[in-house]
Amino acid sequence: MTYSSNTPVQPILWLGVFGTIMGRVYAIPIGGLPYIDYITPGVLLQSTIFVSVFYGLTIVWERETGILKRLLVAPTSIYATVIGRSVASGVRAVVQALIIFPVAILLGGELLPRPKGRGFPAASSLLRRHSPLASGRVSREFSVSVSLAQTYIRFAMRRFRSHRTGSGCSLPTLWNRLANPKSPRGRSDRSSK
Amino acid sequence: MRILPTQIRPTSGQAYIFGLDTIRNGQEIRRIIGYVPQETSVWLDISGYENPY
Repeated sequence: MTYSSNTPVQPILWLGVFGTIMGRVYAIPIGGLPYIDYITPGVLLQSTIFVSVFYGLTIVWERETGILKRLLVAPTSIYATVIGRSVASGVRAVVQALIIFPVAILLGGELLPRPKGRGFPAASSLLRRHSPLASGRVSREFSVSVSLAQTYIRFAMRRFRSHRTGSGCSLPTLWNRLANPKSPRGRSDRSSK
Repeated sequence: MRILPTQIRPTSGQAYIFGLDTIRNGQEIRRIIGYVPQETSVWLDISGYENPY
């Protein structure tokens, strides 16, 4: 579970180091916005999406190593595996966002108490009104994150249900084969059929 | 083998364990069986002692 994008270190680096430097050099024309206000919604979006992508990939990875098999023959509901993982990734994404918000505020980001547009009226945004990303808000970011996680989970489950194992090549398999081409790992699905 | 622990659905016919249908009573079947798959599958981020649980 130790993965760099799964910890708030990377977004903090984006905000603290990258954001600060880019705010100093004025390299990108952003219409007079403070750079921290410009970059923070993107960092929020990136963090939540990375968390969901990572959790989706974990299911694919568990399927390859056979752990998913163990989970699915456990005397629990099959849906508990999927829903539990979704909830876990959601909690993790929310925690990350809750860490990024105070960091951004500490770095000088401005919190709008009532941003324009649709969404939760109480949802706050670090954006000013004229930002090109002004509609990117927490609610939408989470919905994007959730739908992405669903896509990945569906992908994993469909691969699991299908009899045509080995028809595709998932990213962890690819990495494994690139890393150690002689390792038998990743071919276990086909041999167990 | 994978039809019996209710991992895949049979394309045709039925399979029963203790009189329980593998399609309809998957929950009850998983409660009474143990399944040892071919390959070793362990969680890498917990200890070996914790893995059997």
